[in-house]
Amino acid sequence: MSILKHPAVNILFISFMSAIYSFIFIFTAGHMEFASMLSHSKTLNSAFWNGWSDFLKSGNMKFIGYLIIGLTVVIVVFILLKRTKQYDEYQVSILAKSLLVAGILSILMIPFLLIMLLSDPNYSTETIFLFAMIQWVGVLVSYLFFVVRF
Amino acid sequence: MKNKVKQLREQLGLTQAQLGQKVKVSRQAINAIEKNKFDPSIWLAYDLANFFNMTIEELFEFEESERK
Repeated sequence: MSILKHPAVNILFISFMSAIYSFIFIFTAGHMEFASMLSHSKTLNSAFWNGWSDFLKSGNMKFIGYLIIGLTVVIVVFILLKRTKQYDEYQVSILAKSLLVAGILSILMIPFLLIMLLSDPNYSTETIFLFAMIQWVGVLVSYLFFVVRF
Repeated sequence: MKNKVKQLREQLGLTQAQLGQKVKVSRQAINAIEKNKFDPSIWLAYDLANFFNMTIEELFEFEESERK
């Protein structure tokens, strides 16, 4: 875990993950094959889910991709400007615990998503995109809070 | 693991940030050690004990080994 004490590792991790998420959000926006996976009939009587589905069909998730890129750039700039020293052992222990929790939650999500897809595929693509957006934008916002504060 | 870091730091009139600078760790690390939320490595424990002119056993209370 001593590799975590280098701020560059933090920058590489956050940049790599953001690149994947933003690529997915921007690449799929307006993509015909992706749009065909979305629920076309208003199966649920839910304004939220139908609105979210329409939002994705319109290709607006590219703006979420741009938001992810923007937040990541701000975080990387703050780390480069403020983090002149390596993380100490206490901060490394916090980073290691955060990675462990994130890893466990990600592993738990795999069977959850499989069950969701197998039991009712309606709105499953919408749910996965909503989860991905909440997860990574949530990570970036909390990251931003810590890099600005400390 | 209980310790006397807070008591000794206050006797010297140092802030957590100042003590952190002396032993090259963050203020948060000193705060976590003082509140027994974080057990420092042997090297940091040595640096802290050295700063207070004590041994590690005098600075940190080893009541019972947690390795049992």
